[in-house]
Amino acid sequence: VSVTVGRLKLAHPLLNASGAWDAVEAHRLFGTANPGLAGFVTKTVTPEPRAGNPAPRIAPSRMGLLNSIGLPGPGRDAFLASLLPELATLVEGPIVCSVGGFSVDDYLGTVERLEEHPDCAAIELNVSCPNVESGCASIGGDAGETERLTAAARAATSKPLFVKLSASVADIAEIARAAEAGGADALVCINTVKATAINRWTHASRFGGGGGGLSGAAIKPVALHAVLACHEATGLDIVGLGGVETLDDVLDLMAVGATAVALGTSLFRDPSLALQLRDQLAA
Amino acid sequence: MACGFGACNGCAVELDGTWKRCCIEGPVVDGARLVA
Repeated sequence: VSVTVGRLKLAHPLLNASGAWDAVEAHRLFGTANPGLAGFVTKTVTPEPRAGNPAPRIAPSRMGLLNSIGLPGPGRDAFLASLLPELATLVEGPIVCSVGGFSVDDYLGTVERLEEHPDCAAIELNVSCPNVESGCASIGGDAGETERLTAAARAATSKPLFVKLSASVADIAEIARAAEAGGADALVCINTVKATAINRWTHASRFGGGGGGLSGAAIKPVALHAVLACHEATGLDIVGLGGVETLDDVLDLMAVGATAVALGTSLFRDPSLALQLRDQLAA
Repeated sequence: MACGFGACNGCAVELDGTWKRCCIEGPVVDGARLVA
């Protein structure tokens, strides 16, 4: 069941969604860093260390989960010097590094250094996080910006280059074509869907920070539509994700054009889900 | 708490002046660290 997605070879089609798995904690708690996953996608790396958004960061939703985490992380220098080499000793399979920022230069500075880092197998440009104040989703919401960033990253790396898209745009096919024109090897569809939770008495957000993204089973039909639209619009390989919980969900996304499938929110309820799905895929 | 095993960063609490995961750094902590 091995697959190649955007020139990245995987032993089977299952990955984690960026941000939805911590391989270091998993190794410490479960004795295995990425059980059932063919590789590991890191949390998004930003140039400077980020504390993330103030609490509360999550809110419940029927058939889903709302979050406004805000990309906490150690920053580029610490990631490259210590976290990435540590991950390489722990995880099975290739490491895909998710890159984020607030300007093209933010992304490029990280991509250039990942190009030289032996532990990075592929690069995912996160242009779709709904929970940071600028950059990111505002790049991925604009076809011209997406093409410009992708082309700049393409010029800076020969490694497989993925672009992670948001469905919270007017026309995801247009953004997908822009990523293809910029030289992406694959698309990752989709990030969380822009959403919010409020206190109706005060009209205040239930989150401590801004933004808000919906994940979980509620968005699976949105992901299905996005993967289909991107598959019809481009010739690129696609990592499909959004609300995947069952083998049927995996097969549905693959039926409309996904070569690989990632798990996010469903891993929170069952960290062994990828092991089960991998065995079901192989059966 | 969404995951409970350190993956999601959703349970952040301000501890010693920085955001920490309640599920990993806690869940039981010295109250003085919460108001420090």
